[in-house]
Amino acid sequence: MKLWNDTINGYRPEALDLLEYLHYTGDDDADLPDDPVTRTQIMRQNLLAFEPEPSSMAVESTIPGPAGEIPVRMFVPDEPKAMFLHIHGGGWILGRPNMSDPGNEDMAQRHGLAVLSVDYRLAPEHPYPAGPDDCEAAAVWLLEHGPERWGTDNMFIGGESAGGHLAAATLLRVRDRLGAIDRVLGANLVFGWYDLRGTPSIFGNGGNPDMLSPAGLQFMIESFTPGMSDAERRDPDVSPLFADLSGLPSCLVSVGTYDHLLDDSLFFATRLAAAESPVELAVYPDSPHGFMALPSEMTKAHAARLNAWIASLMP
Amino acid sequence: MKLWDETIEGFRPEAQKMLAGLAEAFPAAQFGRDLPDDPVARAQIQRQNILAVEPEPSPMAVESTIPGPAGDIPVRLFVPEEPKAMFLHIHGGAWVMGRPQMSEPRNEYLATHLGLAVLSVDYRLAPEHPYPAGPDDCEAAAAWMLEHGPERWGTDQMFIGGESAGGQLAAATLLRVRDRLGAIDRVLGANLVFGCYDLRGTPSAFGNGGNPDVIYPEGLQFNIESFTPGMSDAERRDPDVSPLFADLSGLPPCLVSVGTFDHLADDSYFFAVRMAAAESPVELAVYPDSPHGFMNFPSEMTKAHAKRMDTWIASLMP
Repeated sequence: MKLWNDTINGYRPEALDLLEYLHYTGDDDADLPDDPVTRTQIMRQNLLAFEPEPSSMAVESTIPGPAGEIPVRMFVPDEPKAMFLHIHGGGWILGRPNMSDPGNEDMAQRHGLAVLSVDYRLAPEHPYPAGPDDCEAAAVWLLEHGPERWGTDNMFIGGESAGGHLAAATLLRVRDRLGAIDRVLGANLVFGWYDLRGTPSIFGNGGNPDMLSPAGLQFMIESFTPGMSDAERRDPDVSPLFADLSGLPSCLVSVGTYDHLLDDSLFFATRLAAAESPVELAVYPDSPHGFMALPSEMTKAHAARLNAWIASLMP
Repeated sequence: MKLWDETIEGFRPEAQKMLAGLAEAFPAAQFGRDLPDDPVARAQIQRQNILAVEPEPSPMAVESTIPGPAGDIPVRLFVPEEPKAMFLHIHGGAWVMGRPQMSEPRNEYLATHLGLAVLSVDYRLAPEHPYPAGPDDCEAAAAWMLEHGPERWGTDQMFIGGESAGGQLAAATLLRVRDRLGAIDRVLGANLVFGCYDLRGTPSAFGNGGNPDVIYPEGLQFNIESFTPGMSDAERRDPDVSPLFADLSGLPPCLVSVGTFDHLADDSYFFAVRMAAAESPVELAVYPDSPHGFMNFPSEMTKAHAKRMDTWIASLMP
């Protein structure tokens, strides 16, 4: 069983060089205050500094949600061929759609996808199930309005990190609550989080460089699902790894081997395969969480694979 | 990502037919359903029940003992005329029941057909002897073979293998051979058959989608509790308890086999894919529509599993 091919293997020296240059310590948040809300507010401010230039294509709007209007950011090409529900990352506690402007603009331009990136409610102010509820509302809105607005009734769902978790949870809700799984073309799940009890790698990635740390991850899980026991975290709506994974559309599950969320992707993909749902597991050696922010051959390979996968599923 | 090929796919109708008659064909499906709650009393009845399905003893088997951390450990040996390597076998039985005789035909076969000096270890059982008694005995067996194999049988290399709880003990022993005995270079491979690798419970351990199986979630929980009484989930993340949590790099080839209807299916998927990510050589052999202990059924799936194990062992022989 090999998780990557020789081409990818050839990119490892460059990946290791980049990691040395980045000098991740994993404890960037160690000096922050313990109070969850104060801590999170500082982290949100810090993250804004890394936000890319806004896309000129992006249009801000709102859709109805279970607790009021939900802000969304849309990227709509001239003649959309399908839709893409994008869910940003940030450990359920930080981030916003603007983080992913370049990727979302590219999805719209390159593939002709009408992209909606949902600005779901964040923990700890709004713990589970607020975030998933907003993401489900966005899926409902796309399924309802896509046909008349954009002439398409098919959609992708995708997200990174906590957005990968929310994308998987939303995918399952589309199947189980909305009964519309036949309208989902595929799910792009990028270094997501699928077992909130913690997989082995969440508790330690072998000491390899990563931007995440076990303590930081526990803080995020606890912020999103405060006071939940391990038994409660086995609820498939909380930890999609525990769901019945049969009858799902194609999933592309991507992760780097140095990511503390490595095992989440490995386990989710193999469980999908065992349930006979179509799945591709894309593993990038010597690559940390968020590796595609680094300019590297590994990042290019990831982009090429994602684009080929999307193209193969377009209606 | 496909977990089995077209040939295996073709065996599914037969496997499904077998399963339809599971309760009749394999009365073990009822094991534990109406047993007492007291762990010791329960284990004693389970041990009696399992004796009833024990195969005929092999004329080749020799009983012996080896020194262990709490006295001599009974072992069962199958030694061919000119052994080419050794095989440490660890029987299943949920850590609470079973003995080497359970696996008599297979161990005889390994000796006669593959030229392996087989030692099957009669390790101490829970709940009378909880963790780490069982793993300690298995480690003692590995240490004994590594020490005495060269002079007794002219070979210094071994396989390790086991089924179910024996798969967990085989994986734990493999890691101890690497980390405590410093002898991982003398292990040719590990044959891990529907083992349990995360004692917190993987998703399938809590439910296999309602498919027929010879184990069930409450029984599994009971046995895990017998083996690791009172341990919290955090304590069960100790890699010596749950090998899934170990550093899985630098290991010899492993063949990880399981059926999709097994409540321990996810344990095997996760262990194999984590090994692969750690760049240890691993084959994941998945048998669709197959329950725990599926090789007790005479079927094409069973034959395919046996053939794959034989081919894998042969490919690694010195």
